[in-house]
Amino acid sequence: MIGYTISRLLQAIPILILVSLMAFGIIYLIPGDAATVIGGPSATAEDLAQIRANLGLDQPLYMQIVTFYTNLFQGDLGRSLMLGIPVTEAIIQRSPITIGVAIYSLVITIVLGLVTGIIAALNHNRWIDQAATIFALIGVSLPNFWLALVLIVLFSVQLGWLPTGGYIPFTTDPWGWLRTTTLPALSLALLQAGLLTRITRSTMLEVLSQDYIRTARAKGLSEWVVVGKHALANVMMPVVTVLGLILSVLLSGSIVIESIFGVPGIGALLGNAISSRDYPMIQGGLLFVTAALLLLNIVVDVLYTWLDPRIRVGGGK
Amino acid sequence: MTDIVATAPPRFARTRATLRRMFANRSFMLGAILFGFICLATLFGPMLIPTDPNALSIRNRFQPPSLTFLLGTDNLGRDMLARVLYGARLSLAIGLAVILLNALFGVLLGALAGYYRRLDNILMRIADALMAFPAVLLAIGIAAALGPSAMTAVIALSVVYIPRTARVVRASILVVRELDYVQAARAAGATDLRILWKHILPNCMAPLIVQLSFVFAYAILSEAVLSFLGLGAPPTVPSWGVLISEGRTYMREATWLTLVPGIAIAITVLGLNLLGDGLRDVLDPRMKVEQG
Amino acid sequence: MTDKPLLSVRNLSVGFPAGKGHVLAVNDVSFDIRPGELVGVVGESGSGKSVTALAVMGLLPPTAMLSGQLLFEGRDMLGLSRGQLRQLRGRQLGMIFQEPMTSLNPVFTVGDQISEAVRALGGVSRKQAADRAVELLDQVGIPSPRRRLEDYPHQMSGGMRQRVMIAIALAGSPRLLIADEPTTALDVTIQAQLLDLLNGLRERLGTAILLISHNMGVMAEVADRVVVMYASRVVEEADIFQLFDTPQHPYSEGLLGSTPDMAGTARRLITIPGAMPSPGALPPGCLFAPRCPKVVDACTKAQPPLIDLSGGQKAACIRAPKREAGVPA
Repeated sequence: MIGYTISRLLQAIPILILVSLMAFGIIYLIPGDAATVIGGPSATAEDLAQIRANLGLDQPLYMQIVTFYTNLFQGDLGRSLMLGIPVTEAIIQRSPITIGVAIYSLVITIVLGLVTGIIAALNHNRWIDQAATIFALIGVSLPNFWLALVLIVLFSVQLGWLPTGGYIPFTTDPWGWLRTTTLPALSLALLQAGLLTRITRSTMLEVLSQDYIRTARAKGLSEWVVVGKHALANVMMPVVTVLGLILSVLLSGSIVIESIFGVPGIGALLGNAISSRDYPMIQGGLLFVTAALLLLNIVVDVLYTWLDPRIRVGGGK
Repeated sequence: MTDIVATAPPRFARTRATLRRMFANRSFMLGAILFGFICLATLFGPMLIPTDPNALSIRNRFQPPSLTFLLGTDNLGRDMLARVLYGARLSLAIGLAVILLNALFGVLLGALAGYYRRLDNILMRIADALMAFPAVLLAIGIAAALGPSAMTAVIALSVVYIPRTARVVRASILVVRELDYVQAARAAGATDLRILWKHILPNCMAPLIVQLSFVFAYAILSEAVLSFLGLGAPPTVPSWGVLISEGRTYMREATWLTLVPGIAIAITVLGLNLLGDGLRDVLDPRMKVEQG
Repeated sequence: MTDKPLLSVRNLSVGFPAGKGHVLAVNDVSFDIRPGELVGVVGESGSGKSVTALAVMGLLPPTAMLSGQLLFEGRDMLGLSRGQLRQLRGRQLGMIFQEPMTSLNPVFTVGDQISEAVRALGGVSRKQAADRAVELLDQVGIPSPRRRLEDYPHQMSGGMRQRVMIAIALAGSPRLLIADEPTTALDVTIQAQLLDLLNGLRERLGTAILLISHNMGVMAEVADRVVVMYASRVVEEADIFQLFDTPQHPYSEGLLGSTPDMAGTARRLITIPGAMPSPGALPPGCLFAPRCPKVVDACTKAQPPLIDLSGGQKAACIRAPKREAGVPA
């Protein structure tokens, strides 16, 4: 298994190189002169020269690439034009907030998706199954930012249960953190839960028809043990494989969701960077999030092989 | 055709049987009805409801939905029904452009990768890298560089989804190229281009159509996100995403301004998802489509 | 061996919904199993033999409709609640299935799956359950059982897995073991070993066994008595010697693959032409008539009842009594 982990990490290296090259190349997509676009109409000739020097645009392309990678290996992603601090520093400051909300959201997704999917499968073809299927389908069809707005109207404006936005760090006030992050986490989770419900339901239906479930029943085990132990253990594995996808959608969703709720995480950082044309920040954020996801996907794959004894313990016949 | 070699089953008979199964598929039919309704409303709605979507009327500001204004009016007294119908044009046009580009480049790149082993490695590594980015995040990054416009949205979303479509095409080509009748055609001396065009591509259509219906759905959703962030269409041509973004300001007093365009998106995307599910059931039961 | 039956299946019918109505997978089936007896149920696939076994276990899907009686030690199992039935499954009834490759849960060790069955009986610690699991594995002939506890099913061969299945079924010391085609998926040599194991268990533990198979050869090796099923009905029931010496139903003869010729010396191979009718489209009269080599006009008029012949033999063929008179055993 250690061998597998290492080989997966090695495979990720060429992808990471390409990904970083693409992130680097984004600045060349800017139509016309990048410095003029970044500086805006009021920029003087000196301003533009300053911007070019900052971004290294005054150097030949190969030098820019060399500098980019040299800096990258030292963890230097350039300096944010908007904040005036190193991009890496901004990312390190903000990521714990996003990670917190993401974990909260992931927990809601998994609980909601698994429970709904399992209940639907256990009541196959009854109204509760149909309802869950429709819930799941609608879930994957809604724009998450719109759902966020609807949740604000419902829970904050109409019911007044939760604040419309803002953020209180967990370390300052755990209850306040929960109050400020519940709606963002929910907005991100409900749609993912739809996806997870669909996968859980179909996997569960397949697992319940397996011979070993019949064996478990023949042993005289209670239905709780049959479903909760024998079926669930087998349902978990395909579910683990979609975790990577769920995390990916969750992190891209955080740009809009964090901006809407004023949660100062990576998402909001990127959102602001976009509106103020802070390209080093955009490049750095994009690269950071993607690299983090690549790593998380490897973790998920390794977790999968660990969960499945057929892979973990060799010697199969 | 003079080939005596084994061929695929006659297309016509298969097509009719497939159509029958489609009409019997609940998911497909419901999706077709929902999406068809949106398409018809987009095409003919502006004719039936000739209200100018940009006509201001200070006296009628913030009218809630009523018989006069079926979907209410916005902060400048503009009719929301007219605006949503008008906005549908842009949202659907962008989605359509994205799937057309996906069909073109997805098939081209997928066929090259699936058919020519040497290209496969390079193309698929690039696709891997592009797909490593979270879809919406990459679209946002590209759009942020290109600057806001409808064309930007089309380009950004195409770059994001073409690798995914190419992968689907490549996967089915890898299967089809090993089939007997393709091998036979090759043995009979047919050129690569002819084999691709006559024998291989027709057999990749099913997964491609399924994939495109899902790409259409993601494109509508992602376009809304781009517009919401101000990276898509300019506010003068209100797409659904722009409408939600505008409505957000008045969310407290005029909820319908946010609700209406969101529901329009939901119906369209739900319709396309159902359509895709149904098509997959009928055309290609074993296929799994990647989302994201 | 007492004569009081352990399990008495009385006029069991099992229907499944199909289209607007329903089809009978098991139709008016009756037979007894006495303690320690090994009764075989034989028939082609789709004859209703597996459904009968699952009905006894209470493992049919909820859509199944049952009528008749399933008397276990005189108590009708069809009247039991789900909980009571579950108690019965763990303690009095055990079952092993056709597919050893898929019948064990791939993500748990065999030790866990055996001791789980032991612990379901209640009153044992984790340690005691593990010890009992070792004992059970030993009983089913698995060498160095303690070492195999940590193995996963995929690390074992098909024959070994079927032994593990038997160990699980024996966990509650059941009085009746149901084995549904336990050897079909296995090699011939492994098949013989497993049949020996089942037979030995019956002798040592006194467990009655209901063995389901399509293979008369399997029956010949271990069965005391055989029930022959065809298209959801019992067509013949006989002592294993009677069945092989004087089969009374043409279908049984067909299954035996040979039939005595006029001189009673040579045997020639016969096969049964045609296919079993589907439960939705049954022929009138005797269900076997369309395939029967000895069919007469009267066969298509009415379904012949299962009648008692001498020596406890029963057959559902209009020619049965006459044939018995004419052909000496």
